[in-house]
Amino acid sequence: MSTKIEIKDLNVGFHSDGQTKQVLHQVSLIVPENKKIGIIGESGSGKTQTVLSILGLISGEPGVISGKIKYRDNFILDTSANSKKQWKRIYGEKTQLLRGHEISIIFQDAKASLIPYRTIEEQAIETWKDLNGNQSRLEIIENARSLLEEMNLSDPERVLRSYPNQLSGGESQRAYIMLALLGSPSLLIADEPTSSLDRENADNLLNIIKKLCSDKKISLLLISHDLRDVIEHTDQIYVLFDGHVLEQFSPKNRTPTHPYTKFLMSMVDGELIKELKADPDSDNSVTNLVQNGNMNEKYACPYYKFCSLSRTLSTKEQQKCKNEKPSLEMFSDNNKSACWHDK
Amino acid sequence: MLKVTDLKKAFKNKDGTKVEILKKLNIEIKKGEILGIIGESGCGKTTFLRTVLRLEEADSGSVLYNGVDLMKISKNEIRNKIRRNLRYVYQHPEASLNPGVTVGKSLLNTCKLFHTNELEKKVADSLELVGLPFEYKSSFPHELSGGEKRRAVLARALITEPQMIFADEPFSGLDKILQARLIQSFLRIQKQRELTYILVSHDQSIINNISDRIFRLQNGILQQIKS
Repeated sequence: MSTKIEIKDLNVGFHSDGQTKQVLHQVSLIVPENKKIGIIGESGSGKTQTVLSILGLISGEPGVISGKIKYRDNFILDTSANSKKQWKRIYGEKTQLLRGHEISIIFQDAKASLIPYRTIEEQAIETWKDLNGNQSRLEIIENARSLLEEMNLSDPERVLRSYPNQLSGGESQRAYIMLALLGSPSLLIADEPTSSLDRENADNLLNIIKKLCSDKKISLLLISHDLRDVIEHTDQIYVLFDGHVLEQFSPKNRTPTHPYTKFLMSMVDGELIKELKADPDSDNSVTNLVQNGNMNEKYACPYYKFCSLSRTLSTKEQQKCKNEKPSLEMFSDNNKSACWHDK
Repeated sequence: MLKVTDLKKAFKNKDGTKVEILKKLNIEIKKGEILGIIGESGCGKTTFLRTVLRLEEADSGSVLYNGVDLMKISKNEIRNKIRRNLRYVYQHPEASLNPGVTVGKSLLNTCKLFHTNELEKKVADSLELVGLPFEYKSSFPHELSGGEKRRAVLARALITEPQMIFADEPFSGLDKILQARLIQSFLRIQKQRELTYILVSHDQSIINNISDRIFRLQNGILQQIKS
């Protein structure tokens, strides 16, 4: 299968308090054509930085430190090829060409992303102008109308004539998605589109996004902090923790094995809370939540401090967690979990 | 332990129209129980907690706590006899901790309000109970992480050795690792002290699994959805 986006060994960092704080560590990720990929992680795990790097929108210094990003067969970022000045220039130029045309992004809050003093129709036309499109006004409006119709809106004309404050939450979300899809992108990035929604509305919205992507052959990169979103709606999931990819798995083919992913699963299905409720002092591999080692210490495995599996290991095995970093590449294709001991 | 009968509360809109937030609300809470309350935002969950505790005056109804009607006694009696037993944990720990006062001092002040003795020991016990290291008594709120602040307000609620804790969204805004630990602390303390909890949350997966009974607050009425 051909690849749409490939990120390889990406390192990103920012200056803070006179030091460089790295926020992404050797992140690698592949979005194949017409597939739906999920990124899951808590706040601060580097989800948004990962997708912003695809769009060349990382601001701050030093930003991208090293790594490669390929769009189809083209390198849009390759820090090994040229001098820093050169690769930065190429990265900026190439991502600018992709934004809006080939790759679109939608953020969390639809209402906040729409311009409050322009009707949806005016915003559609403006978006199209920004993309230097050559369609007529009527064609753009027709295009916008049919997109809204495809999202099960019964009265798309009214939505087009409305200002954002006249729309319901669901309508503004659909209008926002419509604007993102006007340029016919081939990759849609959705950055926590469901974070303010309850379960039912979240599933509805994701079903709409999924259907549009399938119909129009758009690849989807869905970011979420809720494991349920990505398990139900994507083909392949990357689990990010503190800027590291800890596990990559396909929800249809494999249950995750990494202690962190397992912990997240147990929080989602409530197993952990059930066990704690039965016995708050129970001490098995999931319920043991005590912290390992020193909080200020850096260990080779980024999850070591919180890992409940590591407490069941021998001292020698724990030494390995502390001193040798496990990475996905070390393990075979069908078991991509960055853990020494979950096999 | 606590019996709420026909509790009513309405607020006035800017244009003078009345909005009934709580209409004839009835509920009975048993000792040692964890009661979960869910509902859409704006449905009156917080108002319910505040009205029961008389942080907000109800329009009518009664709240019997160990035989005493909280709606009928004076504010002074509430302050002196009731507050230490029924504690409220606010939704926003940032807003409820005084930024200029250390955690230890904040706990001490609460103790003093209720004239308890062995103050220092109480502070140490309370911090230990919620899993905060003793050194944290000299920390200011801004030096704590989100999860630690939540623990600090819980410690402050526990320091008077209450019988009931009313907690408004105690687990929100935390990442999953901190959430799990805080839930463990809540449950440990409950077991040790036979506490009764009323928890308000919009996180269904937590509420479903932590609560003994769950009620939904909708249109001003509580409806039981899990027993």
